[in-house]
Amino acid sequence: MTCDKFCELISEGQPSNPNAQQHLQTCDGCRAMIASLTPSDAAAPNVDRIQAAIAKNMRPVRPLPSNLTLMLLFSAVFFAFALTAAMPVGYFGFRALSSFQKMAVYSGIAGCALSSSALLVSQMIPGSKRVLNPALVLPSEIMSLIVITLGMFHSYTTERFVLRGIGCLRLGTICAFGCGALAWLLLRKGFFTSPPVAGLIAGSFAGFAGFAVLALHCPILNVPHILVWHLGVLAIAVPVALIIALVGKRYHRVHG
Amino acid sequence: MTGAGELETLMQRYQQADTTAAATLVNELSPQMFHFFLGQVRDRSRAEDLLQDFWLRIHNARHTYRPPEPVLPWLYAIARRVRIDQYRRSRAIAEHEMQTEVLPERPESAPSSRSTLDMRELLKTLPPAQREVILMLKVSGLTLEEVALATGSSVGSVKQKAHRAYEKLRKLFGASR
Repeated sequence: MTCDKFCELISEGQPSNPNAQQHLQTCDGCRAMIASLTPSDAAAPNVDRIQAAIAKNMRPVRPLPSNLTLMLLFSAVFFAFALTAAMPVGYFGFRALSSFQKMAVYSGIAGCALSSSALLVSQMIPGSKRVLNPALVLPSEIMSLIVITLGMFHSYTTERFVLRGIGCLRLGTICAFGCGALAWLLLRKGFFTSPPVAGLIAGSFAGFAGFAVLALHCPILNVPHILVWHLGVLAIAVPVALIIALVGKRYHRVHG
Repeated sequence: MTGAGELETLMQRYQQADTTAAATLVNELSPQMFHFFLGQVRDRSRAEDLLQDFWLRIHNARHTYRPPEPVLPWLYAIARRVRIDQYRRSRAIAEHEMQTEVLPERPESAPSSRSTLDMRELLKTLPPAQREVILMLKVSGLTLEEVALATGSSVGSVKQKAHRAYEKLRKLFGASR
């Protein structure tokens, strides 16, 4: 067996493989490398102080619920918030859509809400299995909304494009912040191994909520309007959430 | 050392405010966590600080452990966070510190001879991501799957990092068959 093959075997977690063991007996270099990788005999520090500090602040805690329960909680927050926030301003958008458009648009939003919820949950539990990769899922979610918009609606010129658009952007952003704040209350129960990633996901979750409120409220079914002013909510919510996460992390680092 | 499944039971009892279980966990796991930190910071007092910070965070985040899931990936995911925070904190401090005198240059600590290489010297030659994987696999004895969970990556990526690290280390020892 070559040293290359030996390295391959041990990196695959097979150090006790008979071939690897045989190689170790004959190869001085590999044997020295493995011997050097055994921990030094540096004694661990005295842990009495740590034990005393823990004992002083001991109280029972309840483990977080299962991933599915947490995901359903986030999704419930999303849908309840979108429906409630659109109520006072009116469900004009819902009424303006055909049945087919309703199915396409709202199932797209529901998909984004569920996958963002799953991503949020995976950020809360350290060492948990990552089924979804945020780097793939977040762009796919946004792309799916763009494709649905392009496929379901037409482009036509509208009067007061900016003026009417600003109203939508304002409403969507306010709703995104509201939903983001609610999601944060749930999120803070977890432990973030990567606050910036958690911030990005929370921002997109909030942005989708703002988009959902606009999909229920806004009756303008014009592609440029939706792409610029409705999806624009995400373009605001994601960077803002990321900045909040980074500032929070820095504050935590400085002030403990 | 505590056997498989016992750590999970101890952790469960710790969540129920069992002080003895907490003390046993700290006793059992501190040596390997200390070596994990020591392998990365190469300074005993900093490793001790990291160990304290680590247990403080474990205590505050103990509700995020869900029995009967394996404890080690959960612990190491938090340990990584502690290490990263410490690294950024020390970097921020270094940026604000002004050097007032020219310090004597430190001699390059190149690995001198095969026989004198110790673990920390060896690990120093590896990039941080590979060093972390080797520490978890070889020093802490985690499985590939546990390392993947702790680092939030795939088993394939862990294997690749480990392979690259072993290749690099092997070259240091001149073994090239």
